[in-house]
Parts: sequence; structure tokens; C-alpha cells
Amino acid sequence: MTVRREPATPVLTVEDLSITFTQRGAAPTRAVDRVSFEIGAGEVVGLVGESGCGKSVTALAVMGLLADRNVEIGGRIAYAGTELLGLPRKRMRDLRGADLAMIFQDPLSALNPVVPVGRQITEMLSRHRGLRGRDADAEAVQLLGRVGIPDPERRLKEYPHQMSGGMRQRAMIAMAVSCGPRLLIADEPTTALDVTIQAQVLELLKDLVETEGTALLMITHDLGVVAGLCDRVNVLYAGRVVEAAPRHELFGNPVHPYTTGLLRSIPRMDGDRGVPLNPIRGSVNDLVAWADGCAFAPRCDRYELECLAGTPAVTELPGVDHEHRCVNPPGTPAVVR
Amino acid sequence: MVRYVVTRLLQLIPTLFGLSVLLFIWVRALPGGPDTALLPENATAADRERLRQDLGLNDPIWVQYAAFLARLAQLDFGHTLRGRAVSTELAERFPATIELAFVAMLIAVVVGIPLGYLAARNRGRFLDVSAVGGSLIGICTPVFFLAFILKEIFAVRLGWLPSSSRLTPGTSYTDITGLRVVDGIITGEFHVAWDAVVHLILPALALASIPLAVVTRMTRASVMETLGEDFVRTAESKGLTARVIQFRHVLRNAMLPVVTAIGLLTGALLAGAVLTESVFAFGGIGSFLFQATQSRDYAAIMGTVLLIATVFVVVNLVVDLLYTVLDPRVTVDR
Repeated sequence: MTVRREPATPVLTVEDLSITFTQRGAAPTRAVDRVSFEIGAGEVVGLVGESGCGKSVTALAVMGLLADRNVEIGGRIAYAGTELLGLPRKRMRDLRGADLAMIFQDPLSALNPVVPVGRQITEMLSRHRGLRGRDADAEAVQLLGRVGIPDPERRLKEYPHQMSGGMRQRAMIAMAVSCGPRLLIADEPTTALDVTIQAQVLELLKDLVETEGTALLMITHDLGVVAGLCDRVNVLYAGRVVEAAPRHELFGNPVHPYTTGLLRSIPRMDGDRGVPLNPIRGSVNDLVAWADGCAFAPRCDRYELECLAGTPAVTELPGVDHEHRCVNPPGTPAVVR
Repeated sequence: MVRYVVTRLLQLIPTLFGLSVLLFIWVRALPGGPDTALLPENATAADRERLRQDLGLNDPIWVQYAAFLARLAQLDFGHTLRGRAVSTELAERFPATIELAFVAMLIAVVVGIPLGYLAARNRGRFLDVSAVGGSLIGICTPVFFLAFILKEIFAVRLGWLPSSSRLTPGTSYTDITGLRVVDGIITGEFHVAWDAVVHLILPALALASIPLAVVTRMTRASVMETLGEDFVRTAESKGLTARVIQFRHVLRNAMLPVVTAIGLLTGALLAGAVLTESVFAFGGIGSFLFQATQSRDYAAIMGTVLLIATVFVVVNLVVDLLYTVLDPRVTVDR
């Protein structure tokens, strides 16, 4: 597959998105810091990073699901040319579910426990497609069948707790794609599932993207998912994109120490069992704000004083579609401390 | 399902048995006795002794209890000190209490749920603060005190509402179910039904205070918790209308703990009825129990308390069954 950016009409454009949570009596927390990316039709873009790096918040901002109070959103989010930030609530409600849909991490808690699964699908069909009664039921049966749920007619009347985890996530996907959205956001859709089911669900998503030309924003911390699905990857650290490139380029030539650290930390089946795992040391912390320097510096093996001289600039690798935010990338001589 | 209901009802037998033993001992441990209540102050010791002998109160307590059980096995609750069958008294008075308790619970539910919901949606604003503060007062105010205040203001000073009894004295009515409002509607005597409603307002308001406060607070807490659930966010992500989200996704889930609370509140309601009915001379089992306790009418006390206990168990059984309808995750079979 040729990987390319779609400058013509991206389905989703996120530009310099910043999200700050303000709480009275506490210092504001910047969860997302000038994040930019685009997704074209039929493209799968990954947002990768560890817990708390701002992946999910970005997704919620795109969906317009962040609370009104105590949140400041800056920058720009556009869906097929329509500015989403500042869009009237009602317009946003019309878009949500119909044009933009989201799949959540844990289908058990994301589905209403006291409403039959079928109803949770048909309520969308009646809201956005005007289907009611038998027509809606028939369409829901078809959707459930399409995502690979056996005996969909019977499943329609079941409650979420009567289904297996994989089936619940399939139902969730059926729900999300029920109104033919052009943008699908999947927030860790496989994290709560068994490994075998994970592969099936990813396969299903891939299939949907290919047949429908849906733009998919894939949020994950699992590089395996990225390798299997994404055309393009944005690596997020502490709310900033630290490296962005097409999948092959990123896996073949990772530059930022955070990315290389993530890749190194994947346990290998074919490796020597005696070798200890190779984690990134420390955990996400706010010792360094991006305004002062590289937020990853406290955990970085290649850290040098220069790293703390202001926000690291974006560096584009010559001749390839690959940018990163490292002051002291591998290839430049490491400073001996 | 049927098996579950039967099992639960059978569990009522040991419950009532244990309760009757305790109660039997407790009421007899109360100072004084029917003799002091019935006989004039100048009665001689011999008079008292003869009365105690007649009532069988001089037998050992276990003999008395065995006699009580033997009668109870034939559904005979004995006689009041005035000589009427306790079962007849209860049959006459129980509908009044049902009517009162039902209206009180209706007020608690119809006002409490919307109020709690709105408080949760407007967290920290004026409505919320007043609902929470008001419900605190409702919980803290003794029912009989509130009953007296309501009576003083609305019946005595303003004269808007009647101060006592179930109907205006002298009203003729047809008794079918014992529920005056229902009877009035069935027979077409709407003026009777209306008169009964007017008489219900003050006692029902007094009685509703605690359940209303509890239902409001429970609903508020439950709605706030539900609003933070993932599935509500999912519903939002689906672009559903606010109405569908609030009713189908928030309220339906938020109601589950409230329903449980309503079942448990029935107990508080029946206890509150004792005081409320006495204040408003409302002829239900509450005021009956109050009088029976004052005159140490052992048979009447036993009968009334056992009836209340049965009602409590049955109501909670109904609540548990209702739960299986509201929450598909809960089943009673197994």
C-alpha cells in the first residue's frame, strides 16, 4: 500500500490543538499541546502514547464530548471543512453519530446495561436515519450480521451482560458504523479484549475502512495494533506529538528516543528468555513543561543540557515524510556526561 | 420466579415467629398493665387481681405465649380490651393506613425524583443547594412535630384544610374497599372522594417528609453517579437527543438504587404513621397501635405489629421482583 498524506480534502484536520483543564484553586493542566494531524478518507492514523499523554482527550475534543466547564480548547478542529470548535450544540449533536462516530475502550461499561443491545443500535438509526420499528430492527440485524455476530436476530434482544467481550465490542462497532460515518474514532478498541479477539476486531475495522472509505483515528498504546493497521503514526508524549511518520518509515527509522524506547520495550517471543525486559525508565511526569524544554528529557538516555533550552523545534527529515521533535537525535554524536 | 416468591413468603414464618417472641416479652415488660389502664384509680388490689386472672395474665409467660400461638395458628389475633376481635379492628383500620401511606409515598416519589434529578443536573446551584438543605431539614424534623406544625398553620390558623379524621363528620359514604377515595370514585360519589383527598393532604404531607427527603437525596446522588458513567458518554457520542439520553440512559439506570430505598422506606412510613395518625385522629392502624400501647392492650399490639412486619416483608419482596424488571442483570431464579 502506498502511504500518502491527503492534502486535498482531509476528512479530519486537527491544527495546533491545545486542551487545558482548569480547576479553581489548582494550577491549569495542559493535557494536549499544539497537536496537529490530518486524516484522509480511507486512511488510518494512529495516535500512540502511554496513559495520560492526551490521546483520549484529543478524541473527545474532536467528538465535542469534553465538558463545557473547566476546559479551554485552542487551535482548530475541522471535519470535511466544517469547523467543529464553536459549532452550535445542536449542529454538533447532528454530526455526532451520523458523521463522526466513536468506539470506546471497554464495551461493557460503554454500553447501557439495562437497555437491549438492539435498542442501543436502533435508537441511532431513528435519530439519524429516520428508521423506526421493524425497519430499524431489520437494519440493526443486518449491521450485527455484518460485524460478524452470529444469530443476530436473537442477539438484538440481548443485554450487554449476556454477550461475550468480543461480541460486545462488535456490537459497539456495529453501532458506531450504523449511520455510515466518514470519520471513526477508535479509542483503545482492543485493550479490554483477549488477544485472539483483538485480532478479529482489528481485522473487522480494517475491512470497514477499506470497503467504506472511512477515515479511522486509531488511539492506542499498542504498537502491535499500529503495525497491523495504521497508515500513519503520531507518537504523543505529554500532550505533544514527538514524532510523526508513515508506519513503515516510523518502524524502519525511528528517531525520537521515546519512539525507540517504545519499540525496544516490546517483549519478543523469539528473543533469549534470560534477557530482562527493556522498559523506558521512570514514568510520565511533569518535571519539565514543554515550554521549558523536552518533557521527555528526565527519562531520556540521550538527555543533554541543550534539551532544556526551550521547546524543541520540529525537525523534518530530508527527502522523507517524517518529522520529530528531538534536539539530540541518534546519529548526532551523544554527549558524554 | 414462583419458587422464589414462595420461598420468600415462607421465610416470613420464622421472621414473624421470632418477632412475636420478642414482642411478647417486650410488651409484658412495659411498666403497668391492662389492669392499671382499665380500672379506675381507686380500684382495690383485689379488683386488679381478679382482672389479671380473667385476662389470663397470671399464667406463666410461656403458657400465655403458647395460647397466643395456638390462636394465631387459626388466624385468631385475640380480642382487644374492649372486646372486639383484633382482626376486625385491623380490617377496618388498615385501609386508612394504606391510603395514607400510599399518598405519602406518592408525594415522595412524584416530587422527590424530579427534584433530585434537577438538583443533580444543576449541581452546586441554588436549586441543588436548597434541595439538599431542605431534605436535610426533612430528615431531621420529627414527624409528629411537623404534623403539629402543619395542623396548626393550615388547619387551625388558616382553616384551609380539615384538622382531623378521614371525612367530614356526618358524610354518608358507601364502604367497598375501605379506601375512601377509591370507594368514592367507584360509586360515583365524587364529593366523598374529594372530601377524603382533602382530609389526606396534611397527614400525607407530614408523613411524606422523611421519604421525600431520602428519595430526593438518593436520586440526586444516583443521577450524579450515572452522569459520569461511560455509557452516558457513549449515548452522547451517538448524537442522541438530550431527552433520550436523560430518560433512557441516565434516569433508568439512576432509578435502581432509588427503588431499593423506596422499599426500605415503607418501614419508616409505617412507623411514622403511628404518630401522624394520632395527631390527625386518622383512624388507621397507626393510631390504633398508639392507643393500644397506652392501654397496654397486648393482643392489639401484637396483631398490629405482626401485620406491619408482614407488610414490610411483602413490600420488599415486591421491590425485589420489580428490580428484576428494571435491571436485566438481576435474576431471582437460581
